[in-house]
Amino acid sequence: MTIAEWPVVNRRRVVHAYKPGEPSTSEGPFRTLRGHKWASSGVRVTRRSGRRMAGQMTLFSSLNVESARLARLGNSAEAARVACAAEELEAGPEFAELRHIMSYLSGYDAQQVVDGVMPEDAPAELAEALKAVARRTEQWRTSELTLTTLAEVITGRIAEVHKGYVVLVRVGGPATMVPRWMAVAAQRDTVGSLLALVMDKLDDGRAVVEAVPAIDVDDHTGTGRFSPFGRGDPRILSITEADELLLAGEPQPLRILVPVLIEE
Amino acid sequence: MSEPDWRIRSGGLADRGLLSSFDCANPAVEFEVEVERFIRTQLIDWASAPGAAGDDPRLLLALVRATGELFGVAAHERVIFQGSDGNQFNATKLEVAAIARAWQGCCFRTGERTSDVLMSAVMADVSARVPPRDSRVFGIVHKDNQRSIALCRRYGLMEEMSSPDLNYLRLVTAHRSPFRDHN
Repeated sequence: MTIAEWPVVNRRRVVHAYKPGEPSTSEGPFRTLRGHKWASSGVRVTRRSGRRMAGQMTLFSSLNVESARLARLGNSAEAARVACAAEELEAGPEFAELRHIMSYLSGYDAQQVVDGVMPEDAPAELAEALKAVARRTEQWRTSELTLTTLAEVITGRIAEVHKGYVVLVRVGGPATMVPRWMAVAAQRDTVGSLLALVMDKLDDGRAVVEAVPAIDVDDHTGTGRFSPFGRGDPRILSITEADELLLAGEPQPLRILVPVLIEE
Repeated sequence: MSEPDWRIRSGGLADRGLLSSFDCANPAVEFEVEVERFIRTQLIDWASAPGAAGDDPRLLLALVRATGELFGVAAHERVIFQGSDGNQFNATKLEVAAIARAWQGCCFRTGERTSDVLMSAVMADVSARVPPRDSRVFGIVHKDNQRSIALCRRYGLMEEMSSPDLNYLRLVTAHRSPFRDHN
């Protein structure tokens, strides 16, 4: 299982990485990013309803978040290089397929996709297309080591939801508590959902922490649905601290209500 | 003493055909269909996966002695829960337990329920494994599958662990609290 950040973002997230704390709807910061080629132009999705055009929207490769972060840190050349990679990804076959599928979604559903939510009754091809984009993005990220040091990213699955916080469990690793309102903002406040915590360092004593949606790029079921069967899903054996307390007790003898002989 | 109306035997690769037509689901109930689909198409591969031999996967088939009709299917294997601090807990996962539609809610001449025969077979098999299994048994049940939840509880899977998914419960056999006062 490989959990990665959601592979597409809206302009707001790109601007936020460049100017944390500033209103992310303002035009200026994005114009600056584009003017210096620190952000890609994005992919325009023209939604159709039958033969008619139903609306347009623009989505971006999540690599733009990294290029904007690099630009903020004054690394102009690297920012341009990453933005160029984002542009290439957006021009590739994976994005083309995603754009094609999204063009037949309703406006609401298409917006859900950009926000990191798989719409109900979405075609299986949509999940596959998103995972294909996520895989290509992760391939690029892992080959560019500088990105790993830019921001600390913790990815995992929500194991518990409490009134004020959720518990995020890394695959095969420790758990961490995340304020519930952050998980709500990322639309990942239910047990089993995938979340990434991005800690973007501002200076030695400060960082911006952002909760963003995540995706399992190794999930080949095409649906992302949980199955209680088989050995593939780590959720089956993942336990919480409360579970540990329970399991630490002495198991009671098994109940056999009918004597049974088993033939080999 | 006369033989019971049923017999239980372990299953294997040769039973692929037998399982491929096992009918345990109401087609209108998705969580039942999910169980049936797994039994028909994946269970044999699950039980015979080469890499899983160390987990001691077991497939049990419940048959009507007189006719050979398959009335129940169950499977279980050894697993290890991995805690956050490296704590490990041995357990047995009840992979699946299902009664054929024609036999659901039925009893044999001698009064035993078909579901009791199947679940008792699972528990007896877990108890008899060598090397011994831990007596911690858990199952994952759809939250709307009230009959299976009741059956699990009847066999001691009383405690509810954290849910692996919104739609499923993870039920485990009862434990005596380590903090209980033993006076």
